[in-house]
Amino acid sequence: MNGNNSAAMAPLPKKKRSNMNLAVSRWTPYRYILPAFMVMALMVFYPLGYGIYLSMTDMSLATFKDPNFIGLGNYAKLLHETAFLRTFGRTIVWTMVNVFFHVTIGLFLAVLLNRKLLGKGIIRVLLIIPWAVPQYIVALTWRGMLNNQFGAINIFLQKIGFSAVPWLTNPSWTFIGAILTNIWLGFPFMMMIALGGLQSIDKEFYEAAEIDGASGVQQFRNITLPLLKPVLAPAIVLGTVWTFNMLNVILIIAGGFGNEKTQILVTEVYRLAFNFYRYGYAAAYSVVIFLILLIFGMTFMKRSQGLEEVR
Amino acid sequence: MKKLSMVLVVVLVLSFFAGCTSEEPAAPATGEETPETVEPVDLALWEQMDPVAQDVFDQVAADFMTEYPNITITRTHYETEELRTNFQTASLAGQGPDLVYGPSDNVGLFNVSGLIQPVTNILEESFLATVDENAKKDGFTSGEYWTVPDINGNQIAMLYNKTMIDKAPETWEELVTMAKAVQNIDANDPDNSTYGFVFNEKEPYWFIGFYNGYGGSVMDADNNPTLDNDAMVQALQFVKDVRAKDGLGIEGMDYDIPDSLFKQGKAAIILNGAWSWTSYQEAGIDLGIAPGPVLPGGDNMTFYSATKGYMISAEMDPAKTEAIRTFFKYFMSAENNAKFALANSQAPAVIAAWDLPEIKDDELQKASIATIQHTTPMPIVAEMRAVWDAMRPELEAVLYQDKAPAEAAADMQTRAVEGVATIRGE
Amino acid sequence: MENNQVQVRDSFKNRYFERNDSWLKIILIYLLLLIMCVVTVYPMLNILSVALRPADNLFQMNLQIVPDNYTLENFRRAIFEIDLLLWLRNSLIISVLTAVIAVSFSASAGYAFSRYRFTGRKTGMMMFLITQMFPGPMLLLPMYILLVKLGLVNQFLGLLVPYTATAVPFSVWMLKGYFDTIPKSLEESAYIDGASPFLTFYRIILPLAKPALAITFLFAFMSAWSEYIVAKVILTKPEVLTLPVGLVSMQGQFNTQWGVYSAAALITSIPVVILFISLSRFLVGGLTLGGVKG
Repeated sequence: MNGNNSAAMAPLPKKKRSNMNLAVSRWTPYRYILPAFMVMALMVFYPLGYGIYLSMTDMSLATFKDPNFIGLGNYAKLLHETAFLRTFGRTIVWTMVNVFFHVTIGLFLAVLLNRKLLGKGIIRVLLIIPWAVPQYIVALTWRGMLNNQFGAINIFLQKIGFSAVPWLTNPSWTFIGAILTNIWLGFPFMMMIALGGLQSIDKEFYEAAEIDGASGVQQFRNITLPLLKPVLAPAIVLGTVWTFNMLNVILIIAGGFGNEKTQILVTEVYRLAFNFYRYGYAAAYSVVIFLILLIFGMTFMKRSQGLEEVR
Repeated sequence: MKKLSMVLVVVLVLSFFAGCTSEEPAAPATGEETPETVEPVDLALWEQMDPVAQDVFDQVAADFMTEYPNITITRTHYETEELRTNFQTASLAGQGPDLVYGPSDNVGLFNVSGLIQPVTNILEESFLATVDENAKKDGFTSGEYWTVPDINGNQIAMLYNKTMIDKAPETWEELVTMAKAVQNIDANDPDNSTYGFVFNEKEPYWFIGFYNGYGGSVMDADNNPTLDNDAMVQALQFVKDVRAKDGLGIEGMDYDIPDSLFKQGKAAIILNGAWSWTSYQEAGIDLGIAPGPVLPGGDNMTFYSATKGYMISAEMDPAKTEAIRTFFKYFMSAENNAKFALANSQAPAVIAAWDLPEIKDDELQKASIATIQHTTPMPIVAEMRAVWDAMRPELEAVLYQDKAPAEAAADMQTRAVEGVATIRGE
Repeated sequence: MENNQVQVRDSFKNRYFERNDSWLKIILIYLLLLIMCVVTVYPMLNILSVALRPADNLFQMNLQIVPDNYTLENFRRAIFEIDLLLWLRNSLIISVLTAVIAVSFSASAGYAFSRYRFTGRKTGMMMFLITQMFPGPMLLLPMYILLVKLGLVNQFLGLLVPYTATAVPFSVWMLKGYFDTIPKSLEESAYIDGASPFLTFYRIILPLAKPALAITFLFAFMSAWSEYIVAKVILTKPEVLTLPVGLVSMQGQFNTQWGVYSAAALITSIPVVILFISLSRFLVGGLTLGGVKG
């Protein structure tokens, strides 16, 4: 092991790929992957196939037990849905704002907590709390905090000289309230990921940078971010996917399907399937969501080179 | 400690089963009521009961299982929405329960999807005759009875705190005067404020009381929505005026704020449903219950009433028929039915239960019977969902976005028509 | 004398804080963290407040946390009158098993993706991501039908499989990303010493990846701990209910025992906090690559 630390010494070394040891047969990697793949195949691919099949049927209340196959009919109908684009736009706002704050707040806190700091153990536990409590009760609590008259947020706003915000009576504000709640719920996860990722960064990089006179911001941009990328990129993709498909927070804060201005694509799927019992149509909606996310995921991973090999 | 109790539970369960099987050959001693099927039968019941009713059910079920050791009842609790979706999902997979207990508004939906069967398939005429005809009608559609109702009500009524209001107002004008007299709102000190009148202003289930009170009706005979009319405009105007003109209530009132205020004795009058009455008494409120007052230029507020009851799954194993009959005879005896009625503070559906002293002399039961006179049964067809969904955003738009009631009524109708078409798969 | 004091102060500072930080910077950092802590803790205090109130009052019209007429009755009832301890036990079993299985499967898969080049590698990795993209509600029905066919309804195994499937994709990527940061040279020298690939993975790579393993474990644990929708469909017997399902079973349509509910929710978060504290020692330095190179 000794004498091999040159890789760690020089910042971001570009090393040529070496073929692995002779002991490795061409089947070795597949054996490593097999258990995880089996579970996924069992639990996801069949349901996925079923969902795609369902999207080509007219399954609804009257045809619940024996739906008819109607090909791409549901998709054709979806294309004519005028509300779709508006809801899609809102979903993008919802997702981008949430993920942006999850990542920036999480990263920021992780960097602070990665420093030498008295009492950071306790602070870390306090900051992780939103992740530890059942989501349902927290979301309800937030709804209480957003109440126009009695909610803590408005009382606080008024104390510091702002006027009360109509969180729960104006759909646009309700939507913002839901975003606030979801940011609160989501940043500890990103903080944890970043905190873990930071452990893999060798302190020597920073020491070397400091000798070269690099500022804190420069160090963050040139060392921390690039080295966190392998861990952060998939976390951002998945965070985006999860936020895109987040159902509970919106339904709880908005108090149901109420106003369209508070709804995103996945709540629309839910409404179609479980309020209007249009299972086939809802499945078509789901497939479209799936395709949108697929395109996003592919592009993002390609851009961030998350699929590249170890250096 | 925990381990010990787990072991105890396991031992108990095992000995219970062992007891069952070993006693099998022995002749049942309880007489002719004991069913011939000594084979162990497991009845699965999925329910949407309030917590108090769940406790009562468990007690009655325990007694039942001691009396009929071959029948086991497994109760699983679901919330309203989950009961619906999980029952559908499970039925598709052939894993549904034998019995479903819940509000009658699921009947239309389950019946259209072919998930339940008429109760007359399984239960004898003589048994069904013991159940109140009006309650049974609530589960009647497509020419068949689909439920065995056990309680009737779920209605909203006007509740007042007797320490603040000495007698129930009969008209809206009276209510405004009385409520204003006790109301004392300090915007900067909500903790020491008192509210005259509060209710869930966002929820259509409350709003419908005003619409019905102005003579409105949500659907025609073919289940097509009829929402764009004078009654709707009047009702929307009324609900808007509660705050805007009469100066009562709080902007953005949902369920929990009024409920908490009334529990704390900070609200004099509230509109709330039968499910809540016991909780107010438990919170120490001197509770008065009366029908909703007469609306200005209209009739009494007329809320919906609905039954709750049992439905029989279409997938039910015919071998369980005898056990299910036994179950219903036991749970729907006058005495047991009364227990559920009292737990829910709603009227019993078994006719014989009405004359029992515990029902006749109960204050809440009296109030329930008095207020139910001013209700109208809630439609149970699947299309009703589209009506509810159409109402809510328009109601909120009138309340919070200054939308004109006439415009909102027209848009509500458009939404409902679209929704009904969606549900029907058009 | 004065000099001495400065030295004492400095050694105190150097012991507990970064060497180059000014006091102003330290105070600023604390201030920021304090604000964030208030933001995360305040809603919890709200829940505590509901739990301390009698008569299931969800709202109080003031900002007081401990009400004047506070009572511990709700906590007593949460522990003794509902099956909280049973749900807690069930949830612990399922969550720990999920975490252990998900972490081992993901570590092995993540290692292959990080270290080997093989046909289908990129496709395989994307596959893991893709599985997360289909909206959950629509997967429920087919998943349920599948579990029924496998006879896994009302069994812990019936939850374990979907939960592992939920936790694996993220975990594979997380671990793959972390393994990527470990220089290959470490294994190469082990190979030269004659160690087998598995031994190298197990003895050299895994110990180095402890921070990522800890996070993956926590993630898998939490996803199982708080999962509700699948559990609600699969578990119908009272003796197998998990915490989220049990908690929700206490709700009525409008009438919920908010006091007991909140007390139970708070009790529920205790095991998570304990788990987090015990895992967090892997997250605080000391195990960085710098430490092992020696």
